[in-house]
Amino acid sequence: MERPKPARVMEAKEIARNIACVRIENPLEKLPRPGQFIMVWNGADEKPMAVTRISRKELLMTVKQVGPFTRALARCKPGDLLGIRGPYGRAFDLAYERPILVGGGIGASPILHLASELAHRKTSPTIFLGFNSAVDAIYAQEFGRLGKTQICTVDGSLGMAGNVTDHLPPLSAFDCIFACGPEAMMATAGMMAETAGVECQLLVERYFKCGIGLCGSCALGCFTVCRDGPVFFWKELKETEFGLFKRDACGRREPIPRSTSPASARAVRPASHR
Amino acid sequence: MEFLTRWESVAGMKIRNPVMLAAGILGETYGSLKRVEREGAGALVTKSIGPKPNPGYRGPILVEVESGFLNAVGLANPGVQAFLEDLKEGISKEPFQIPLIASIYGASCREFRTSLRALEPVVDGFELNLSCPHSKRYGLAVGSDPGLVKQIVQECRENTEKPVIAKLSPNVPRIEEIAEHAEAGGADAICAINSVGPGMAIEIERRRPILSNLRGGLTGPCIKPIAVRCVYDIYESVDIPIIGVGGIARAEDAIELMEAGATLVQIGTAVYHRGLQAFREISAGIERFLEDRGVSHKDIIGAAHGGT
Repeated sequence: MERPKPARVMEAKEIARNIACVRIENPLEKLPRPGQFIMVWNGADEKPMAVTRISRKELLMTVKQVGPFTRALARCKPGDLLGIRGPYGRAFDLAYERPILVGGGIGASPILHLASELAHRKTSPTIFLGFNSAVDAIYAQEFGRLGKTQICTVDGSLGMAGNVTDHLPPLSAFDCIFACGPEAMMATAGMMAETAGVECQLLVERYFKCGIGLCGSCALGCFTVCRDGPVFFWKELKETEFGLFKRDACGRREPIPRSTSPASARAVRPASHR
Repeated sequence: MEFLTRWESVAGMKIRNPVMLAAGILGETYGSLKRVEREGAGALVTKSIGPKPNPGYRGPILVEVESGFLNAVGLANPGVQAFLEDLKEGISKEPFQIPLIASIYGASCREFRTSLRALEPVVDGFELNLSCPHSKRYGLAVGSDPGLVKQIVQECRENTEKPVIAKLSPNVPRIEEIAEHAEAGGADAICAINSVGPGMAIEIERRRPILSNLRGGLTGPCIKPIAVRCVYDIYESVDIPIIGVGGIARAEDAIELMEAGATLVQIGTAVYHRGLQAFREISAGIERFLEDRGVSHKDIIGAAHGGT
């Protein structure tokens, strides 16, 4: 039944600037696959969350504090009760042999789940992570154990300086690029993959309410992101408003911040989109 | 299809099959409405649109219960102006091939009129939300007062030539009385029913109601018997067509509502269980049912009302 299952918080701790790692008991019989999401209820609100790591016993999520809900979640105490439902949505298609993974900011959280699953299947991914600054970096060591990992920071305080999309190796060496991060970064990755003739899967964020494809608040083009996605192939998105605008809680359009990356400026978007 | 002539003559709209999208499911953007058109719906009803942008209630807005869902979305919508712009942009590139009916809500005649006038140029008809059971000033708050229902329908009637449908709530002592007033106000059709209740679901470990609004409207298979009874009672009381909605998950459910008196039906919660293919499957199932028995759609509308 699509109703929250009670789950106790085991631990919540800050792991980077404004970012907490929240470990809870796993109440789900069906384990989320990489790219799927869960709905988390804290008694005040219910929001979708990505999964960083999952086992029969424990569920780990990584929470960037952006509003009242995420602030409350990051400050949970051991023993606090949450309600969890899911898993929901379309997962990443893992049937690729030479994957490159790109995680930007908090988007590195579901990419870690994906990297673990790929490593478990004996596929060693190439990993590129981008953060604003060293204080924002998450899971660098964990990624390092799963595949060859490169870190970029916009201010150059850790790893290579600049946007992660400016440092990607030639994409033709890979058969699929998997990305999650700021939408402008993902759109750039999509356009670069298209130019290189490589598949591209993106984990998309929109305003979810019901989580099961009924309320329509997560509309993107003709898609309902919570049910048709949240993972999409770039070829499905390139003629939608992806990278241009999203919708708020009312359903009004909100522009997506543009990328400052030179790679983004070079990338070509098809003329017809809406 | 011959079976739609009654609707078409009254409403002046071509409908390719009798299975419509119900208000509140998807339908908040041009793109999602276009998707439902492609998936085979006979006509589209938008999410309920009000005069101002409304974020609706906080989550959870929906929870599954035995044989259905409780929901309290809170009439979330971008407001009539933003919605209109979104529709216009899409329609200018690719118009709809099937009727697009705007569901509108308001707390007064004036609010209904504002939305109706704004949307009039781009939609093919209106469904008046006189029935949402979980919002303080809207929906059932106005829809349970027969006099006010008549006034609102009249107000809308005077401001458009296009079909005006009154969507009614089962949560009144006599739904047929409200339907009679809507008919007297000039409604072209009655749509019944909106969600039932409100109801409540409590999470027993947390000891709290799950919906942020505490109470929510009940939908899904569990409300079908109530929908059948309401449509049956309305059919006995009015001469205008009825659109049946409430718990339809299979073609047989749609037929049952038609035999109770519905000309057309709407699908909502079934989209969760069956996906968007529900429209095509249920409409094909209805046709098969009619063909197998060698009867027309007209023959079954209200067929359950015989001599006793």
